[in-house]
Amino acid sequence: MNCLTARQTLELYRPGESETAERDAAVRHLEDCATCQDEVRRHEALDLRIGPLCRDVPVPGDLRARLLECLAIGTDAVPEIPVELPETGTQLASAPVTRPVAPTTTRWGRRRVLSIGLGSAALLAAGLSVWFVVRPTRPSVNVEEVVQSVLAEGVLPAQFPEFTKFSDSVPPQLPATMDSSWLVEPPRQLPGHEAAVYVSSLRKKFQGLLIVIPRRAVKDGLPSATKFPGQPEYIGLYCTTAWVEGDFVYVCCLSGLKDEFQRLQRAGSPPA
Amino acid sequence: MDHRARTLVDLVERYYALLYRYAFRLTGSRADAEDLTQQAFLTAQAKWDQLRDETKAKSWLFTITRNLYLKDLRGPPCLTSSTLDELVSSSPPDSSAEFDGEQLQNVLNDLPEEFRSPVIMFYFEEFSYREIAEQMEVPVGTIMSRLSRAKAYLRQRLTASEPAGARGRSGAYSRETAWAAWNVRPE
Repeated sequence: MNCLTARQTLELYRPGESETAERDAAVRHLEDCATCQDEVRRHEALDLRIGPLCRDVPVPGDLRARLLECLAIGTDAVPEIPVELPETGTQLASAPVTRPVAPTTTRWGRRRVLSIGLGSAALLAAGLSVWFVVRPTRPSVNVEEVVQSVLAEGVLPAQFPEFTKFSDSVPPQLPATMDSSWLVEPPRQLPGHEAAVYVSSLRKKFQGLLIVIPRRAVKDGLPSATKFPGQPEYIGLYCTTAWVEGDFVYVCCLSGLKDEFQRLQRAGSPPA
Repeated sequence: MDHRARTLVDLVERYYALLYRYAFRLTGSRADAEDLTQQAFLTAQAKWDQLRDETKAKSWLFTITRNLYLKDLRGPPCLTSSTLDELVSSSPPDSSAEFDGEQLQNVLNDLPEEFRSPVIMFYFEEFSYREIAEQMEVPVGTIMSRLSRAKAYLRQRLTASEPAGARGRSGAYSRETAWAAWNVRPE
């Protein structure tokens, strides 16, 4: 066992969790290596200081009460409001006696009001139908929001329904500049967003996803890259890149490193 | 009070302080930590049916907290994992060096989240490596590797004078910088 492995083994050793044989080998190494003895001692001394310091966070005194109060509000969303009913007899006795008011509209007048009302409603319905058919599709998708939503969901494809077509009946298309052969699962619908999400694992090692959004639906701006892999950056645990290709905006997120993106670049596609 | 409400109250009693401390070490801010803790319990209440095994409630609460944190990406931008290794020099740390909680927090803030969470949980001594790995949905070996690297970085930063480039933010890791890198332009 070399020095680095021995130090790491001892540093992270926990009874019952780590291999005892490995630890024994590391201890044997330590017996003969003065440098490691010194180093391990230093690390242990530091751990003994860092640990308590890390845990030493003063908790606000009223936090517990506020949390319990907050959760109680969450449980009893509709508070029970006592309804005071008037005592039988007293209310009736004190209420002034009034005569029924005679209707002010004639039979003809009521009919006319009714027909005008129905006519207006029919016109309104017809107008709305026409508007619904010819209305311009307004951009409604914020790419950032979509990516955050997908990543926040923990990328569990089964919880999303299968995606077939966008609102203009166009099915999602895979990008030409990225090797999409690893996306073996059908796309899923991200609730609340006009976006198709492909989720698959890459070489059974990395979890990856591809988000496809119609370009016309994007409201806040488009990524400047026009080819995969664009300019990959990390968002949380995912190496992520976004680009525009044809009529779609694509966002690819991969739990691997940036190098993986280079491998996914489709052969023949010039570097971005 | 039904079983669910009773259990939830019990969870608050047992874990609110631990969860707050974790949230604080994640975000580096008292206000954000309070907010995150509250959101975590509210989420737990709303998604109670997803908790299949009540003995795993603690892990579940930590996972919720971390996911909420990742969703909002609170806290300052941090270093990239590659930069992390570059900053760890081979010189041995000075174990007698003085440092306090604030300095520790500053160093934690600079760690990428996938290193920060395991190292916080390691020092909290509340979870096994396997539990940490399950929470982060990575293999145990990956957690061990991240812990080793994160601890080396922590030691280096806490015991040595500020290394060159430690605050350089040479690599983007936050949402804001990622979006800037994508150079999003108005349509």
